[in-house]
Amino acid sequence: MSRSAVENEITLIEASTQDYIALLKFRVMRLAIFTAGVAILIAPGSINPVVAIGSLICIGIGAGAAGALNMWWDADIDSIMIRTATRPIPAGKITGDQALSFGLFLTFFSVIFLGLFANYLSAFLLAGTIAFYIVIYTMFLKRRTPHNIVIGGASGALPPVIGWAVTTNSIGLESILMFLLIFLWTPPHFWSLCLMTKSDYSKSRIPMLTETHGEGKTKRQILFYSVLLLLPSFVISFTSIGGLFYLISMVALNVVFLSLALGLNGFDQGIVLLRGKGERQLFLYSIFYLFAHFVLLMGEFLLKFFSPFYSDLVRILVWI
Amino acid sequence: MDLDQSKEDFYAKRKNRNFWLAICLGGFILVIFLVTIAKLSNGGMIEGFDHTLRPSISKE
Repeated sequence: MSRSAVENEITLIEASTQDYIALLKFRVMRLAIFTAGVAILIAPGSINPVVAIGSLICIGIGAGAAGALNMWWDADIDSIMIRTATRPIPAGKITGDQALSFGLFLTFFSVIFLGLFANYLSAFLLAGTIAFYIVIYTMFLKRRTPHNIVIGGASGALPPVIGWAVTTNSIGLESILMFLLIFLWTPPHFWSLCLMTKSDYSKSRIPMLTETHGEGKTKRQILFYSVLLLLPSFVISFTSIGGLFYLISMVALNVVFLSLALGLNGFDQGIVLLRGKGERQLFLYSIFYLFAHFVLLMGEFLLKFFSPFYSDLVRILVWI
Repeated sequence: MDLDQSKEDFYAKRKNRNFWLAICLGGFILVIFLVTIAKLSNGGMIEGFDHTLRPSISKE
C-alpha cells in the first residue's frame, strides 16, 4: 500500500463537547436538578438564593458524574442495545478511561463543593447517592436480579432528600415522603419502558423483569407499584409541604395513573377511557405524573407564601 | 476522509472543547466568588473550618 493510501485510511478521533455532554445523561441530570430544586425551595427555613443555586449546580454535576461512570461500566452492554448504541463510548468517540476520569473528577468536585457551599450532610448524601448508583445498582444489581431497578431506583429518588438537607441541614419526614414518591414511581416508569423495548434487553442479557418473568408478571408488578404510589402522595398532602390544592390534584393524577396500569393489565372491559391504552401511554404519562407532582408542591408552597388565608384554611382542614 | 480534512476536524473539535472548558472555568470562578460574598454578607458568627453559621457562638 502506498503512503498516500495509508494516509487516506487514517482518521484522527477527537471527542467533541457534545460527546462529553452526552456522557452526563442529561435527562437524568434534569430530573435530579428539578426535584432537588423544588425540595430546596419548599423546605422550611431560609437559604441565600446564590448558595441555593451553587448547591443545585453541584447536585446537577454529581448526577452527571454518576451518568458518566454508569456509561463507563456499561459500555459493553450499551453497544449491544439499539437504544444505547449511539452513546459516546460504544460509538467510539470517547474511550472508557476518558469517561472514568471525567466521571471521577466530577464526583469529587461536586461532593467537595456541595460540602463547602451548603453543609456536610448534603455532601455526604450526594456522595452516597453516586456510590449507590454506581456500586450497588450498576456494578452489582443490574446484571444479577430482575429487581435491579426497584432497589437501584433509590439513587434516583435521593435528590429531593439532598435538596432538603441543603436548606435544613437535616432529613425530615417530608423529604422521606418525596423520596418514597420517586422510589415507588421508578418501577412502573421503567418497566413500561422495558415493555416497549423488550427485544433490546433480551439481546444484552440484562435480567429485566420482562425477560425473566414475562410480560404478564411485569404488568401485574406495575399495577402493584401504582397502588403503592398512592400512599406517599396521600400522606404528603397532610404534611407541612402539602395542602388542599395538592390533595385534590394528586387524587386526579393517581386515578389516571391507576387507570392506565389497570388498562395495561386488561381490566379495561367496559371502561371506555382505558380502552387501547398500552405501555407507551403509561410511560409517557409517568413522566408527566412525576413532573406534575413536584410542580404542585411548588405551587402549594407559593400559594401559602403569597396567600396567608389559604395557609390558614389548610391548617384548619388538617386539624379537622 | 483524507488526513487533511481529518486533522482540520480534529483541531476544530479540540478548539470548541477548550472554548467550553474556559467558559465552565470562568463560570465556576464566578460561582465561588458569589457564594463567598453571599456567605460573608450573612454576617458575623461564622466558624472557620466549614464556614457554617453557629447559633451557639452568637453574642446573645
